[in-house]
Amino acid sequence: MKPLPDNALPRREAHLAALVVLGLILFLFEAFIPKPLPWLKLGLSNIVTLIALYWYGPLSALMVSLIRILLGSLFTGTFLSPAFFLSLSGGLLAVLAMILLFRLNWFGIWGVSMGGAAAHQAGQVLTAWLFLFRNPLVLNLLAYLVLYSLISGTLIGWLGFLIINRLKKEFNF
Amino acid sequence: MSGFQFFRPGDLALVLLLIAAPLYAIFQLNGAPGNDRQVIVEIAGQQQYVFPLQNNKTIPLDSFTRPVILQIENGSVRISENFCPKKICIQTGAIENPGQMIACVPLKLLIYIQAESGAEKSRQIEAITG
Repeated sequence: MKPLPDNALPRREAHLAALVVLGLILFLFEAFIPKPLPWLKLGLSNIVTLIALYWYGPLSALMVSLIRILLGSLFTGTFLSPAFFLSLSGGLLAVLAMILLFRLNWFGIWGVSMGGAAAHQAGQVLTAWLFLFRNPLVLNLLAYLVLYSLISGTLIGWLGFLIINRLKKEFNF
Repeated sequence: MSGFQFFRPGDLALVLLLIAAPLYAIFQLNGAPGNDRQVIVEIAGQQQYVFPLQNNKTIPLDSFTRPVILQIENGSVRISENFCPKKICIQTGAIENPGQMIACVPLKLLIYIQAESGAEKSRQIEAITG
């Protein structure tokens, strides 16, 4: 098969598509790791959202995030399930928070990542609280999840930092 | 734009906020360990008794015709005696934190911990958000 000529697909869309695919791979990979608690995920796939944000900007990050979540739910058969809506609300709030922190300019990628991780948990818990369990103890859970998200946020932020630095050299942005 | 950085000063503020806010919420909802905590005893869905968790006490529950005894000691509560067939409630052991519970299904008995300030907060949250 002959390789596509350089102008066959706009570069940005190709890169974003690649990020979505990577995000899906990470997401599926994470799904197979045994977890002590169902909500204690590493959130590795959020790294592609972060990369899209710093590479091509807020709108691209939003697209990558939503498409990744949508396809992920189709692949795991959870589309339109309660878990899907939790994931969607968490992911949506996370991207929005990251875009906000990114735009504000006072935060490094570490802060952006942690803010995104915390917002992700908050979005999930809030949705669960509004539509599933109306129990103040759920807010208690949120407190612990936010503390945990500091760790995952730092990890993702650090990985993102390394990767984006390499990408910057490779693609000049 | 000052360039692509891992760390900027705002991150510190964010970290502190993300540590302080949850800790504050946990403290508010749960009360300090041992203090302000109450044992709530529900029978058939109705709140029947409330006991403070700090005071060591042996409490026979007289809602039942045969002995059911609560033991509050060392900041925790457990059922020390019950006439139910399987004694699962006794095997559950002692609970001390809000959110934990001991249940005896045949007796429709439910025992759980509530923080006094937490109970206030819960009611406030319920009232505000409906």
